[in-house]
Amino acid sequence: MRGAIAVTAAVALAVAACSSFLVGPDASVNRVGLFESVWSDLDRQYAFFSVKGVNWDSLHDAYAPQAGAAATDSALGELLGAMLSNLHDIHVNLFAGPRSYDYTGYQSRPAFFDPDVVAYYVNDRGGAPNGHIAFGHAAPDVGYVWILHFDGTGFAADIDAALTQLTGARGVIIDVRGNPGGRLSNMVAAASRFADRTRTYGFIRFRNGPAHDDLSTPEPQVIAPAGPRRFSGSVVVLTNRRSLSAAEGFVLAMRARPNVTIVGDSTGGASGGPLGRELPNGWTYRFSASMLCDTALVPFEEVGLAPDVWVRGSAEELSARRDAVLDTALVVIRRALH
Amino acid sequence: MAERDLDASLLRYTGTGVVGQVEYAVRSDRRWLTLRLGGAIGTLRSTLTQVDGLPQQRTRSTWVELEYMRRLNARHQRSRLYFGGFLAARATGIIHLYSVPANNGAYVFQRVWLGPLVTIDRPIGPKHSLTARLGVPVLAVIGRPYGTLHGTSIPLLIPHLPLKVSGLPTFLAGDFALSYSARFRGTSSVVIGHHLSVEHYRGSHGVRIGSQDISVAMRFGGTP
Repeated sequence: MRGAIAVTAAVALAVAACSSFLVGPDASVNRVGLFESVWSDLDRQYAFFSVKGVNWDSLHDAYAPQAGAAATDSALGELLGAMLSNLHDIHVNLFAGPRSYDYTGYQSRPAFFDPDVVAYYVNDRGGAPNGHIAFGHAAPDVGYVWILHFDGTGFAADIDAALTQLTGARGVIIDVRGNPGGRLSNMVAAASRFADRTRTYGFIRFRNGPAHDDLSTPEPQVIAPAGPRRFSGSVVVLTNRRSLSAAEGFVLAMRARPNVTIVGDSTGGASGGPLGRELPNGWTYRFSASMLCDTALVPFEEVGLAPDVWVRGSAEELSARRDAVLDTALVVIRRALH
Repeated sequence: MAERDLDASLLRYTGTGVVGQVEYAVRSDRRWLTLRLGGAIGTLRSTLTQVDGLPQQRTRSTWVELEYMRRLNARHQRSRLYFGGFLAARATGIIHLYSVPANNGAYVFQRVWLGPLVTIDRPIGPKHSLTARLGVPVLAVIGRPYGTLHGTSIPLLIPHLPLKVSGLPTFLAGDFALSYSARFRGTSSVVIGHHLSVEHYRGSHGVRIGSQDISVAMRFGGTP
């Protein structure tokens, strides 16, 4: 009996350290291999090739020889960053050690939004407990809610605090200008406070095949009423070309509801759902593996969501402490209230 | 446990987990039929995993196995040699977690195996026995969704799951079990076992899974 136990134990111990060996060692970290991993991963899973019109094979032909010639890891990082920037997608990022490579084309877009100028309109502006939202009154019966971003935790508490303070307002202006996005769950939490019933606000399609235009059947995205306090009056949402990602989901969710007017410039057009990946050398990257479309199944990547009332504003107006978008919003909401 | 799912990561993820299994066997002197249900969960790490434990892979596996064997050698021989076949259905889900939740994804690898099975059962004294079992699938049906499931939930049923019939050498796997049993009261036994399972699917985006477990189990009912 002891011999049998010893045999069982010996076999167990002999392979105890081997299960990791059984799946093979991590891949070697040569620069050509890293380049090919990133290129082929996007080739297989990136969702926007059919929308962007990018010839991914040509980019491989252009950059692959340079990857073979890259003398240092940082040179390879620069190279991969340059290749990925051709996609014009803020959800495509490479994190190469201390450096990150992101598409920065959105930063040059006109924003014409200055919170300090808004402060001249909203004299009682205060912050919500978790700092995600600032709010006040743009007129005695018109609330103003500035959603800085959709990141972090405690978002629902912030929107509830804002709506509690704005009790009595007949209309609300929600400002998502310059909002870079964040968590979809935070966007849903905010929009649900303004929802009148469950509504489909858009569709998500996933890349689901080897061909660049292989996309899944659209999955409806819905918004439903939630929260202890909801606002059912007239709403104006302010947007600009730097309202991005989850902020654009918020615009879609809001415009599915009646009595909502979108005022400002088109949104940024960053509609991808990012997917994280990792490389054997410790670098990580992510890319859009899905796309959010509007209710007509039209993608809005790069072009953005068009407002109901287009106003861009200008630097001169901001210098004169005038916010043309907010001025227009006040006219629109005043008209809606009367 | 160790896994390398190329859909989820190029890296090897290893770690420990918990396994549970229920087995029902009908056994005569010449035949041996076994039905086995099991499941395992584990949390795996890679060389990139930081002190916060991320990125990490949470893996879940379930399986159903049916085995049928006939004795090959003569009754008077002390060691019993069995040969037969097995049909097994296994599903493995991997939830890959990053420090940024939006980047998380889930991956599924399902397969049905068919293959030969050989078992040697060696009594050691009146109450003890040592059993070794080796199964090698030669035909597999692989079910694998394209890419990630986007999120951290793995549905019980995946619609439009693409299936692919795969045989040697695109699908290489082996399942080895060694157990020692000691009868302690009437027909009840304590079974101490070691189980090693290795599989390697060389599909367009392959999977390698290696797992082993050491178990202590109770067996109720008589054995010839």
